Amino acid sequence: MAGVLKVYKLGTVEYAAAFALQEILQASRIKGDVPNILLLLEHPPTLTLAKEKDLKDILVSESVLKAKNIEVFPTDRGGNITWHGPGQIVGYPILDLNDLGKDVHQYIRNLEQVIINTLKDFSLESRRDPKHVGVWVGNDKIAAIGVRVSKWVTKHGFALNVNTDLTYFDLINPCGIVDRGVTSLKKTTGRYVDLNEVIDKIIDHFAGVFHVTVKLMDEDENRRLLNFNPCGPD
Amino acid sequence: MAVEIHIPKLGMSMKEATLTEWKFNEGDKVNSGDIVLVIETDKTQWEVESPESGYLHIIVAVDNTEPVGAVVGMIAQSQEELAGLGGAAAAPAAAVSATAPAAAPSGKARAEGERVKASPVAKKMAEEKGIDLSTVNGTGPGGRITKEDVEKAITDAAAAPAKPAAAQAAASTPSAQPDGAKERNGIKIKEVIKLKGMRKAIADHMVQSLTVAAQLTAISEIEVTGLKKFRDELVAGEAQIGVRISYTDIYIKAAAKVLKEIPMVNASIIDNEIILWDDINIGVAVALEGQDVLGGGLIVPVIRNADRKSLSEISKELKATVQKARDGKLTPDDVTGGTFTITSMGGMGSGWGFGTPIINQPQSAILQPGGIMDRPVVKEGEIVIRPMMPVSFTFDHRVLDGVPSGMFLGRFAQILQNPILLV
Repeated sequence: MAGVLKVYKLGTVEYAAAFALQEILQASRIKGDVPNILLLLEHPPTLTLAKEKDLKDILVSESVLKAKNIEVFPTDRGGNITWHGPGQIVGYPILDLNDLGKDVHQYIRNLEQVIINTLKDFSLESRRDPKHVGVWVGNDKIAAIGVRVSKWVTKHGFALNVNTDLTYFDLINPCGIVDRGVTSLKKTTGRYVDLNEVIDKIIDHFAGVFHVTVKLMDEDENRRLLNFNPCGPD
Repeated sequence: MAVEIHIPKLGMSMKEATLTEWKFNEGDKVNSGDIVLVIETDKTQWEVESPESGYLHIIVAVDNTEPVGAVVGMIAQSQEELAGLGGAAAAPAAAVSATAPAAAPSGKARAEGERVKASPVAKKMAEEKGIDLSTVNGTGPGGRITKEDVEKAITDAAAAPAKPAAAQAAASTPSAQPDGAKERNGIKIKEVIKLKGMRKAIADHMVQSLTVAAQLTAISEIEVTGLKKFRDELVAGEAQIGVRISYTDIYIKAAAKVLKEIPMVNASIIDNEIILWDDINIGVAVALEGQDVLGGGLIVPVIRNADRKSLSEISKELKATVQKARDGKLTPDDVTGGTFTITSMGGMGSGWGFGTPIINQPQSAILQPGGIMDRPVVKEGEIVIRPMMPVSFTFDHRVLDGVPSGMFLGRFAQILQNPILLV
């Protein structure tokens, strides 16, 4: 057993805020001040870029992005451009891989497994792709993965399309791949699934795949994390 | 000495990574532990820390993909050393044509394959400063390269303006690259691989060992019914012991016990003296997973004072060190100070077979247990089936004669047959 995993369900969080929060938590995890953590949340419509050249994968002009109220955010995870927004579950595990096999590739395979197991609970068969990281249904990507590791502690993570409005993906070449599509749980199964129902399954399978004991944080603690002041007494 | 920055191995299946960002510029001062480089593998960005404090020399530019273990940069300890490394970047064969004018102002290019004539002092200096002699213009008799020529090449390299990133990318030599020549001596070439890094270290070490020592290999076969039973019990007790004991762990413990009893085997010849070591530090040869046709090479983590450690301590330590080796995180302490080595036939298949291992200098012996197989043997006039293990033992006849070597093997066999003797 690799110990306790604190799970925070944060609702909708601005990308910038979640980014800053991960920075702080990763640094604290490296110092050993906090246990392993999983943040589960949604973002408002945001395009995130992993590399400068990702800009070419935005297929529309800046004014279109403005009109649609989409933020563009350069970030420091692996991978390429992707879209975040309502109906998509984003998971940011802050894990010390020193206690979890110390294998970056295995970590990615484990994240994929959590998603695959979760989708199975909704009667959806998904798979890995030998060439492209992520979780796929047929030739369409249903979950994207991008990570950054510092001193074996992770940040960033996965984004699973549940009830996502997939037309947003038409604005970009997701992950720089041009010959594949994107999909969602709703599109493939034809039914609307409540995000919380999926989140609960993700937590179960995360505990199973990573052999951790989940400690679900209550609303107060979730709120306190979001309002977390690194200089404060907390 | 400048320290190399490698592509680390971050997982069993990791073969290569792409350089995403150098956090500092060529020549910048960096501190040990600073994040100097970000690489990407499998949609994961990894922060590479500087192994030392010093001045950064970038060898491979961003957006290039390099195999695990590849040297992508260096940390020089002084400005002077950094200048010398500037020459090193110009050295690799792939870039000779592009960089030769800087290093050889008279432009007298040396045809590829032409033998380089140089004085011993010049050769030594070039080696120390990382100057490729094939790029140096020789002014001595018959084009022979002199000490002065190398000094000039070093100054020229230091004075040459920093190369643009693209040129630096070209200057990096991947460990394996297709050869432009396609054939040599009428024989078609599949691939040309630079002898460098770990491969070079292994090559040099092996030849050196065979050159200095009078090595011969004794070969034997051991019945291991007792060993198998003992190990099965240990595996069954894994939960209580807290670790899965491997055969190798048992070999280490057994060898350590015998080395204690026969100190002559735990010895080194250093400067005309035979030194019998009191510490019993056992190296275990571990093959690393490879990224190219050569495989990943070989590393020999050392279990210090193995005679004073329990089986479970040995087992845990070995597992941790092997993991460190696979992650490319070994420290010099992990691989030096061995007084005896155990190697296995693992890579050559698990069947019945013998090797003639080469001694890890300056040690005096190396032991190679083979794979265990059920074989017909004669016991009290009957042909019966027993688990048998071949074992090879190479020793240095300068230190050891047949009798102590035979005693070592005999006692080792006796312990494996009756592992109770380990206690």
